[in-house]
Amino acid sequence: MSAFVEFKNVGKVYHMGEVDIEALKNADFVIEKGEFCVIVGASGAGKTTILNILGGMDTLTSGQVFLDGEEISGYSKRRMTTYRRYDIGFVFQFYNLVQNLTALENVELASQISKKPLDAMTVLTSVGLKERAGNFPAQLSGGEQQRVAIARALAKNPKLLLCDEPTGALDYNTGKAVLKLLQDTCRREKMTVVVITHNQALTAMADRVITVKSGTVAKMELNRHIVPVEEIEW
Amino acid sequence: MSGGMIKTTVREIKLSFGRYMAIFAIVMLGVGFYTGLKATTPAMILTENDYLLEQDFFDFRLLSTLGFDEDSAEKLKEFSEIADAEGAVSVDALCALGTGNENVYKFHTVPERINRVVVTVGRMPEKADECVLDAARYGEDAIGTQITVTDSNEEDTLEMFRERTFTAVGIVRSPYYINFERGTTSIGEGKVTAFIYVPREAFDCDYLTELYATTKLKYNVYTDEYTEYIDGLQDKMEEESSLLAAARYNRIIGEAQEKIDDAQRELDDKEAEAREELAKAWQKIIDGEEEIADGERKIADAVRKIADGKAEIAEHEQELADGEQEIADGEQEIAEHVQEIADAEEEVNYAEWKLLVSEQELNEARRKLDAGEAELKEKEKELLAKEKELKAKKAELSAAREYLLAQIAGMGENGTVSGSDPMTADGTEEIKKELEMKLAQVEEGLTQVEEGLAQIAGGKSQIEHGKDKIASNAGIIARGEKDLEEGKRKLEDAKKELTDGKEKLEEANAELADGIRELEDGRVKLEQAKTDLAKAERDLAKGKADLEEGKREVEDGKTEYAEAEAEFEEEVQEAQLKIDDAREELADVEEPEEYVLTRETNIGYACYESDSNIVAAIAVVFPVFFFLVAALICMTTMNRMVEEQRIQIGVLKALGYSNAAIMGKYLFYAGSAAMAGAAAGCAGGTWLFPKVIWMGYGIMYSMGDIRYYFDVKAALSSLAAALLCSVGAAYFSCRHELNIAPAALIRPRAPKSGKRIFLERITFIWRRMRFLHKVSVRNIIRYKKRFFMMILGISGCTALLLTGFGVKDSIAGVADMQYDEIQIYDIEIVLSDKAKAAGRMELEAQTEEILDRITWRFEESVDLDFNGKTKSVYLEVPQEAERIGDFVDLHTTGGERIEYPGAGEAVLTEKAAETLGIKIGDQVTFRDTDMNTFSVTVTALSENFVSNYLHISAETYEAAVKREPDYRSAYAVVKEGVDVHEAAALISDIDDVLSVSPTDDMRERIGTMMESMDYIVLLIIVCAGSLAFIVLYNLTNINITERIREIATIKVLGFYGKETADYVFRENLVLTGMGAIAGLGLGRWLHWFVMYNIKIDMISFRTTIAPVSFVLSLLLTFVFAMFVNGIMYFKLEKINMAEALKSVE
Repeated sequence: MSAFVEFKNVGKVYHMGEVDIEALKNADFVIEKGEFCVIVGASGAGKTTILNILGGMDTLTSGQVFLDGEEISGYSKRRMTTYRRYDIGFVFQFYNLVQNLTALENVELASQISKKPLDAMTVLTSVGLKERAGNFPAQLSGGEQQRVAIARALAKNPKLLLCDEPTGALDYNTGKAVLKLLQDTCRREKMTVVVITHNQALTAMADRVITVKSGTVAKMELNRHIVPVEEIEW
Repeated sequence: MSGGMIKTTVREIKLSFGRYMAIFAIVMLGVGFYTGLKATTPAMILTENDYLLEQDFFDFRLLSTLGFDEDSAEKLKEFSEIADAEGAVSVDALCALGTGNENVYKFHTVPERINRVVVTVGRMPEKADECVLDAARYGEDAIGTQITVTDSNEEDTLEMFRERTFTAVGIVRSPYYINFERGTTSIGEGKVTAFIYVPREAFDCDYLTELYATTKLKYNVYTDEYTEYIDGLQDKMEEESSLLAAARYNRIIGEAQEKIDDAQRELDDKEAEAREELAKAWQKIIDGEEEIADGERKIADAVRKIADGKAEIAEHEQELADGEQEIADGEQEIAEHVQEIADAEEEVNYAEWKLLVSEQELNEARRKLDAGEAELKEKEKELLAKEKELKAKKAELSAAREYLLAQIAGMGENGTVSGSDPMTADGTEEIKKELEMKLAQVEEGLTQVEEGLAQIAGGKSQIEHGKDKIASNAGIIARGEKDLEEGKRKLEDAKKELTDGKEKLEEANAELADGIRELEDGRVKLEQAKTDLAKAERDLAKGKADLEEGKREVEDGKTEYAEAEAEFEEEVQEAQLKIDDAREELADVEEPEEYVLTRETNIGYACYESDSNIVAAIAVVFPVFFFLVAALICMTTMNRMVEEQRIQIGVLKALGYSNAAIMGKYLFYAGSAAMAGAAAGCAGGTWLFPKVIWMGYGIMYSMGDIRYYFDVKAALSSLAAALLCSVGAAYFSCRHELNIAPAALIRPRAPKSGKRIFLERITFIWRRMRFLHKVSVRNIIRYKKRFFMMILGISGCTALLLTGFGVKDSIAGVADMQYDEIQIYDIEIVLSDKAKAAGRMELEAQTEEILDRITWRFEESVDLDFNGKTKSVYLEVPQEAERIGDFVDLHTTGGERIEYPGAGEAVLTEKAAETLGIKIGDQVTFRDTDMNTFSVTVTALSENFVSNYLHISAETYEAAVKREPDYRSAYAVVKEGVDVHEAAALISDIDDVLSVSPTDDMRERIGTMMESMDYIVLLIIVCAGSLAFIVLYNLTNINITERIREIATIKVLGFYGKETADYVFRENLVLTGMGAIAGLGLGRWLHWFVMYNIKIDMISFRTTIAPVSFVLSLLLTFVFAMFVNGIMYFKLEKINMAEALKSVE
């Protein structure tokens, strides 16, 4: 049985006018189902590119990407959207909540379009925001907003939860809480979670750590000493 | 501005070129629309002004009912304010072009100076039989066409032409006809088809029908200065024209009087002459008759003479016969006498012998003898006496016989004189017979005398016997020789006697011979007389024949004379009648009425002002929208831009740039876009709008190319407004941001909080709404500025569209409503003045087959005075007021039926009432062309769109004017299945029919007139479209850029393209819908406003908008919105999802 997520020799070249920028080359890695995976790397190392490709937001130039046995690298644009719609949950650094929608509605925005959505309120409750369900994003704190974002991502009941610097805009404690939520979700829901971060410290809580350097996967390792989030410090 | 700032500014423009262009475009549109529409009317007026100036359009047109003398123009020029004057001849005539139909054309003389025409194709006429044609109707292919003035024209018209066939050598347009109307005419179908210019030589008329004059000062058209100037000259011009007309009048009257006098004199002379001749002829006839009477008398005489002659001849014959008898008697007598003489000789001889014997005895018996002798002597004496007596008696008888004969002859003559009466003739015969009897008696007497004579002769014999006895006695007695001697003497005597007897016989013989000769003469004469008589008879017969001939001739002469006299009388009468007519006509020649007409009376000139004002009316309102929208767009855009760049501003500020420097960038950005936009708009608008609208007006007006008018004031004000909006907006946005501390600026601005909206509280609706719809609703309400802009822009667009369509509906509907709902008759017929009742009946009889119904009416143009204002309306007087409803439906705007007004009442059409401010119940005064004024009470206002009518009843008219209206116009409805135009053609062939106008033609004409509106509507649609586009594009663009993260997020969440678009555009559509609905309301108002401002005198409009126009406006608005959304869809597609991942800048 093949891995849940598999990058095979993935390369990505951006054409910026006359200059070709090789953002990714020969990236190979796998992520097993239900793993909490942290992709770590410096700015510009190519981790966002990986996320974009894995999230179906960008195409690759060469290589293959598989998710749950399906090759997503060959998807058409529309198929890619469907893929994003049903299989991927996103959590952004800046939450990207729709300001005009309440917390619950933001969750519903995602669940609306999913084939097998979870109940929005349930999800919101599960992220501990039951009380704030009727609040608009502007009325929520950063952590709460990020939790709404996570709830929004989860409500779609995706195969894969992709988080781009989920703590980047949060303070230390809130960040931790968010990470805890993600980890708990991963454990409880058997959700495969991929967190992209430049924070090396976070690798400690991951099942699998993929280190990206200069557009290629420098190291992929399984963490044998998983530390609970609470104990991680940075 | 530092180098860096310039760079960043330029780069900014490059980067956000769409936004820059949006400002540019909306400003361009706003300014373009404003300046364009503003410039259009002035441009049109300018075009006309230049055109008219260039062609030397008249300022005054002088008309007189008698025309003007050829030298009038020169005289007119003497007036100091007149720059130039030119006479012209114009006449309407029926013509056939090539082999085409007959139509009415207006012929003008080719003007040399005033109203000069412009040759568009070909050349001007050079010969008398060449002409140039109307450019509005004919193109290049018409050159070479033959135009023939047909025989169906009136004699008067034909007399005007020297040439009857013209060859078209060019196509021209004339300043006199700037619009498509060619005017009306009293001939043919009543409408002039086209104009034709021909050289003056083509006309055969010695006077001018009109005079054109231009003034010294050239003010611009339609200006108050011009009007004042012309008004000021009006009186003087009227004076001049009446002088000119009077001159002509006097000359004409003088000449005509002279001619009439000459004619009268001639007639009188001729009449006298003719009468003399007639009299002579009559005298001849009389003479002839007299001659005939003479002839008859002569013939009668001749007949009588012949009869006389015959009688005479008969008489002469009788006489001759008598004469012959006499001669025969005479011969016999002579023979007897010869015997006697012979006997006597014998006796003498015997006696001699005896004497000899008895000489002895004689001697012897002398004594005895002497005795016997004495006795015998005595007896002889007695006998002789007796003989003498007898002879006297014979002479007497002869005389008596002569007398009687004369008597008889005289009587024959007298009998004839007494007459040819046979009775009288009989009387005469009797007398004649009596006379003849007397004559016979006389003859008898004569015979007796002869017998007496014979007896005497016997007596003589006895004497002889006695002598013998004596001789015997002498023998016996023989006694005396004495006796013998005696016997011898006696014998000697006897011998002597015998000799005498012989002599006498000789004499008698001679006499007889004479008688015979005479008789012969008589016979010859008789023969001659007979011959003469025969000749006379022949002559008589001939004379009679001649007389008959003469009689016939005289009869003929008489007939001829009678005829000639009748003819003569007739001729004289006719001639006199003509002269009298001429005299009467001359007496009827009224003092000429002269008219001084200004440009205002030129249809083209007058219509042009109001027509060009349509655009002005639109120009008043429309640009306001554009400006408002442009301002808002500028503001939002700049606001958004500044907001987007707050971090940059913060950085710049932190770097130490002054506020002014930072602001300069935005001010420049906005200002340059607005400046460029305004410049482009000014240029484009000033060019495009007049051009497009001119294209539309080109259907109605021909003046060549449009002159562009640059309205500096409008340009500067719109530029200022554009700058104020853009730079002002930039300034205020910047100032707000610049007041914030740089530190705060660099931080992303807290996103605007979401808000629960009112609708959410109505949970039963909110719950039912689909989730994404809720989002849209909330978004719509969230961005209030955008909301209002969108509503304003879209409603403006819809309103414009609706106005455009509405204007068209209102105008297009006019003809249909007028002719389907009000003037429901098919044909209007006008008869000539002379038609009267007989003509009407004739027409009715002849059209029975084709017309369903017909009614007669009187129509006249009258001036309506009210409150010091005057308006010309048509006075309408139906012959049968109760039937007029079948032809003209009088109703109020609300559709309420109006009863035909009674005595002293009137129904007025609404437009006129509105113009003059007349209300129901008002007393109005109107004035006809004869200056009869009368007052009526307006009882109702009727709906009407074309022209203005004042409906009154015949009683009202008669009471006011004191005469029956001349019902020479009719409304008619054709039978089902009859083609209106065919019917019209048939009717116009009827005598006395002056004009036939089917309402369909009028409908068509108005239709054509309104076609120009299509261009304006098209222009409005295009403008509305661009407005909608710019508003939608701009707002959607802002919407998208503002929410780019949100959209990217949604895309990342897996929204399909369409779903994403829906998510964004649903708001647009909802706003478009709201705006459009608001626009319908606004549009109705705007439409009303525009319609109110469109002032065309002849036509009034119903402010109506067809339902389909509402639908179309909505639909078009949505089409525009969808179009923008379609464009924006690609923009959405292009949004990179990675944006969502980016941090806030």
